[in-house]
Amino acid sequence: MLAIHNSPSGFHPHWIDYCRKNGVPHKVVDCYANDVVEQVKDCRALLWHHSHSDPRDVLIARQILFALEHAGLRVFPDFRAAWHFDDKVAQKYLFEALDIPRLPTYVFVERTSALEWAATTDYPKVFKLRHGASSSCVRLVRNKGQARRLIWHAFGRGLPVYSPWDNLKDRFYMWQLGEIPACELAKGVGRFFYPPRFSTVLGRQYGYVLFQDFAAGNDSDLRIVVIGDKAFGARRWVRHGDFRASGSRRISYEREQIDVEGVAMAFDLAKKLGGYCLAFDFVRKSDGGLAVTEISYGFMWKGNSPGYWDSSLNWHDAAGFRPEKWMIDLILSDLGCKRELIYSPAVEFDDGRESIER
Amino acid sequence: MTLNSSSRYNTLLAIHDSKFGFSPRWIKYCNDNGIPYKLVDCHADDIIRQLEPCSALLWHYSQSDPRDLLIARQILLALEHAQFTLFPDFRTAWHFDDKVGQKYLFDALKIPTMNTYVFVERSDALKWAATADYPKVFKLRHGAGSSNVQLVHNAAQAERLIARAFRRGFPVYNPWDNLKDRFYKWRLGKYGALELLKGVARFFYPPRFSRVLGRETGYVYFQDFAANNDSDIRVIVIGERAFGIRRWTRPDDFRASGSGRISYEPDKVDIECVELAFQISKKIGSSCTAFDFVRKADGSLAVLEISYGFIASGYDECPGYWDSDLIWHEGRFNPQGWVIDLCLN
Repeated sequence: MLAIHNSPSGFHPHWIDYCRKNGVPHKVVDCYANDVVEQVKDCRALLWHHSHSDPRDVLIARQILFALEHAGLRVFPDFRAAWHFDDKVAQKYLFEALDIPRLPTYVFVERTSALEWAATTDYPKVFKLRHGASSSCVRLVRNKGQARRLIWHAFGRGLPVYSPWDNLKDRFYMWQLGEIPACELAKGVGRFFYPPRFSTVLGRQYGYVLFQDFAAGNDSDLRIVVIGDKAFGARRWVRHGDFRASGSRRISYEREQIDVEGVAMAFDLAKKLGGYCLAFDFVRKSDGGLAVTEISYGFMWKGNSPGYWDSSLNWHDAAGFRPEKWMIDLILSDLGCKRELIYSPAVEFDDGRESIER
Repeated sequence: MTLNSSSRYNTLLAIHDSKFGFSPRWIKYCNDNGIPYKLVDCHADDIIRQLEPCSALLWHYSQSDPRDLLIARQILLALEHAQFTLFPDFRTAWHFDDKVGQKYLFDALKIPTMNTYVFVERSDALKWAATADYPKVFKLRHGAGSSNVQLVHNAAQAERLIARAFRRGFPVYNPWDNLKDRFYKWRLGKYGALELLKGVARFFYPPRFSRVLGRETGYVYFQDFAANNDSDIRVIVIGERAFGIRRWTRPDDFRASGSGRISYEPDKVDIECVELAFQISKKIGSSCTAFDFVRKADGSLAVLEISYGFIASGYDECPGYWDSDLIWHEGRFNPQGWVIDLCLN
């Protein structure tokens, strides 16, 4: 039996839907409850698409998943896919330890060594906080003076993980694109007075700095998601007058927009890293080679890809496919379940849940 | 860099270069026994490159060094991912200084403990507080030496703590408690008057680690209170050996950790605790764990907390140790040397 966290967002509804339609024995559990371990005691796996912006997840998701994996349960996301989730500092060390093609990244936990480095390095560099998705908390540093100011801030007052000003600019940008209505702009103003809960849980970022070499000349980045022996991707164009691609909402999903070289490399790296599900963000270095800027186990999925590649790099047309199914299949096969035995014809459910796929 | 070459060992150990913790004793043990090692600086940006010739890393990182808090877990997990030999490894230390993590670990491995309640939603916590029995013990997830631990006598007190946890939150470092602690140790004659003054200064200059951790908010942690314990028993298991002490509670207080009132005699340490510690250690798969035991009302043992590290000098007076067959071995010993031996095998 699989345990699936009870949530209307992320992968959860699709996991539950797939299990229901295919008769995969499953149970919906509440991971925030005090007795979560008791709830999963008759299950062999737990799936939880935990988020970096839900304060509850930030506080306990890693701990619960580590504890269950420690005790021998299969979990999604597993240790290898997610211990470094939303932590760019961790990913620096991981990429170096596994020798993953990367942009050189510098982390300092002492002000003196950071200032020494800043005095002699080349610019521009990119400054990032360890947390933050969709290009939040990322900025370009053009010279030594800017770097020194950031270093003094980081070792002085610290830096907030949530900047209401950047958030408002972001909302304005999306409103211009027609992605969000005007009331979202008003909410952005409200965020000056009510910062989101997750940012108070994370607190100010203090005591470290992270800089990365800047990959100049990239008008887009390449995102490839690998789940088992399947991969799909997207090209994300940078925002106008900006160098950041993640969160730009200007995305191409067409097969010809995606470098197969990136797909091949993503399969290789996924094997090296292990883990059920990994999303890679690639950019081109000045020598033309691909470099990973960040990895993540989770992603937003609106079903826009026209198809996917298998691990022999053959393309499969499959408009509207749902990658959540593959995750369930992967876990079941990992548990040694034979497909015929598990997937019985859909049975009737009387819990009042509406199927989300029609 | 100190690099002795010796053909007896095919593992080159890397040891974090520090004057604190286990490092000086590790270095001495290696020097005394001709074990090759390389000193590395884990706080440096190029730590992974420094480790290139090595196949094991030993780092006694601390819960109160801000640098360690920011990167130690990350560096060790990255190396674990790359299948490096480590002290401490994942199973030994992912839950270090995190009582919330330990709650889930104890639940998942069915380790005997006091019932523990963690809530990340205010409404759940309030509902529970209205119907729970008191007293309970309120703790923050971080904190050693009994800091951030207090007794809750009734529902109203619990509700106040819950309201605060989901609003302003709690600082990890409480200068007032710290001063009381210093005063207590000064009376015992363990501290000079200067340490008292330092305690006053801490009102204005909180330690840097507490700024890194920030305020604790968004969760509460309560635990059943183990009444009528005048002491707790701490047993440390390293591989197939264990040693222990009994720590008496502070006068008029229920907390034993950090009390400074310690018995080292082997007859003061329940052999039942030693046996259980070996069992749990095996279950966790840890290389080095310190267990804090108390007795529940029904007389059975409960683990309150585990930790991979301990203050090395605090156990120098232990007159001997037990092996995993519970046979006592009289005589002084070097637990940091045991850790090195474990890493070499």
